[in-house]
Amino acid sequence: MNQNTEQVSLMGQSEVQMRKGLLVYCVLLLCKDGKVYSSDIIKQLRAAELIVVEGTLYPLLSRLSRDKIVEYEWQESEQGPPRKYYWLTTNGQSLLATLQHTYHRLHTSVKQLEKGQV
Amino acid sequence: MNEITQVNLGRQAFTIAIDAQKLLRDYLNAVKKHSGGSEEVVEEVENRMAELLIERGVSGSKVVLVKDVEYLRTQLGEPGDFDDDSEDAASVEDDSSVRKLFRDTDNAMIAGVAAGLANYLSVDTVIVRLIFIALTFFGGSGILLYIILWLLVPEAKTNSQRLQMRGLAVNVDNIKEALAGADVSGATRRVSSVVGKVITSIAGVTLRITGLLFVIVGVTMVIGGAVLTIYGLVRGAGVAGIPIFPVGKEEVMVLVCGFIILALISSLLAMTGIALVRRKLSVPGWAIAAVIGVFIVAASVGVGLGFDVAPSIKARYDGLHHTRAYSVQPISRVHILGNNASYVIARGDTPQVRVNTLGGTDAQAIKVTEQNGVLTIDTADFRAPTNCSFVCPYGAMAAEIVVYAPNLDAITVDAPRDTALGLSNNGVGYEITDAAGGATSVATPVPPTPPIPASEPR
Repeated sequence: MNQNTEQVSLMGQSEVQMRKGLLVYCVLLLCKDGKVYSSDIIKQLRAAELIVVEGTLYPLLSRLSRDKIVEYEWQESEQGPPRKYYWLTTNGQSLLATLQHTYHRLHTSVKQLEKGQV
Repeated sequence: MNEITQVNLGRQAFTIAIDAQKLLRDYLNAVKKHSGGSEEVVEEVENRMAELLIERGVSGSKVVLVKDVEYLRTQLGEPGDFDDDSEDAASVEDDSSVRKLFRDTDNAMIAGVAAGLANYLSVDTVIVRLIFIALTFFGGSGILLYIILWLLVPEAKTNSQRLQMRGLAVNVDNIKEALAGADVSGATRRVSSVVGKVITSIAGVTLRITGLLFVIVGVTMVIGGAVLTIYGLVRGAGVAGIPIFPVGKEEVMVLVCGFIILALISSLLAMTGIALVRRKLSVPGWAIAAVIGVFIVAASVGVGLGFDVAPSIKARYDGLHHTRAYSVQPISRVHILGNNASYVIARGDTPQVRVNTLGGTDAQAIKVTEQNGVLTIDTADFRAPTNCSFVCPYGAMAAEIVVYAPNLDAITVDAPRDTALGLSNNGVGYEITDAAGGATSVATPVPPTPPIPASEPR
C-alpha cells in the first residue's frame, strides 16, 4: 500500500471514525438513567438517525461490557425471548463524564472554527 | 412444496421453511465470524431476531419464510456490520478505494460536473465552479469543457459509485454510512439559511434564462445558416454577374461542410440550453457521440478544402477591382452628374480622381472633366449591372469614384435620386447642393470660412 492510497483511505475513514466515536457517547447517554432494554437503545438510536442497521451496535455493547463500562442482566419476558438490560458501571459513569466534557469542548471548538471561517 | 423444520431463537420455538432456515444459519455463522466468534453477540442477535419476528407476527403456527429472514437481515445489517471497530482500517485496503471521477448530482448546480471534480480533486466545489466561470471568459472554453465533461463523465447513481467518487472503499459499512450521511446532508440542506435559498433560486433563474437564450440563439443560427447556405448554393456569392463563391465542386463542399459545422455547434448550443432549462441532459450518449463524430469529419474536410480553395477565392475577389486614375488640376468644387456610382470625397494633397470598377464593367462611360477649378463627374451614361449577393463592394454600386482634393468650396449633386456619397474630409467642410431637388443640404458644419454654393437653388 503506497502513501497515496493510505491518504485516500484515511480521508474516507475520518467520517466513519467520527460517527463511531460519537456512537459510544450516545450509547452511554442512553444507559445513564438506570437499566435499559437493548432493543430500546437501538430504537432510540435509530430514531435519532445515528445508526441505520443494528449490526453495528451489538459488537459495541459486547465490548463495553467486556471493558466493564456497562453491566447487564437477563430478564425473562412473558411473551418473547429473554431481555437484556444494560446500565452504567462506575467506570461507565466516569467515562460518560469524560466523554461529555470532551464532546462539549469539541463542539464549542468546532463551532468557533466554523464561525471563524464564514 | 415447502419443507419445514423447527428452530430455536432466544428460547422461542419457530416453524421455519428449510430454505429460510439455511439462509438464517448462514447469516448467523457469518455474524459470528465477523463479530470475532463472540457467543454473546450471537445470543443477543438471536434474541433480537425472535423479538423482531414476533413483532412481525411470524410466530406460533406461522412459518418463517425466506422473505422474513431477508427482513431480519435488512434490519440487523450485513455480517460486515458486525466487524469489530478496531479492525476497520484493514478493510479499506481495497482496490475499490481508488478514487473515481463521477458527476455528483446530489450537490449539482447544473449537472454535477464541478461538484464531481471537486470530490475527485478534494477541493471545495466553489473553487472548481469559479475556475469554470473564469475559463468561460477565454473564448467560452469553460462552457465547452463543462459540456464535454457532462457528456463523458458518468453520473454517480449507486451508493457504491458515490463512495468511489469520494475515494471510499465499497464495503457495507461505508454504504450504510453514506446512506446515513445522505439523510444528514438532506436535513442540513432543508434548514439552510434564507440567504442560501435566495442565492440558489437566483442562480436557478439565471441558468434557466441563459438556457432559453442558448435555445433561441441556437435555433436562429441553424435556420439562418440553412437559408444562407441554400441561397449560396442556388445563387452563390458574386457581384455584377461574376460569381465569387462557391465555384466548383470543392467550394460547394466547403460551403456544405461549413453549414454542417454551424448547424452542429448551434444544435449543441440549443441542446445545452434545453438541458439548462430542464436541469437534465435529455440526449442519449450515442447521439452525442454521433454528433461529435460528424463534427470532426465535417470540420476536417471543411478546413482542409477551405485552405485549398481560399487562394482562388481571394484571387477571384481581388481580380474584380479595376482602377483608373485621373490626374487633375487644382479644384475647388466638385459637380456630380448622375448617380450610378458610389462617391468618396477624401482629403488629399494632390488632386486626383480614381475610378474603381468591378471587373467586366466598362468604366469608359464615366466622364471625368475639369474646367475652371470645377471637377465634373458624369456617370449618366454609365450603365452596369449592380446586382450583388453577399459580395457587395462600393455600397452595392458597380463603381466607386474617389476624389482626392486638398480643399473644396462646395460639392453639388445633380442626380435624379439620392446619391451614395461618402465623405472623408478630415475636418474640411463641404456643402452639398441637390440641384435636381433644389434642396441644399449641409454635410458638415463649415467654420471658420463658409463655402460658397456652386449653384443657387432654382
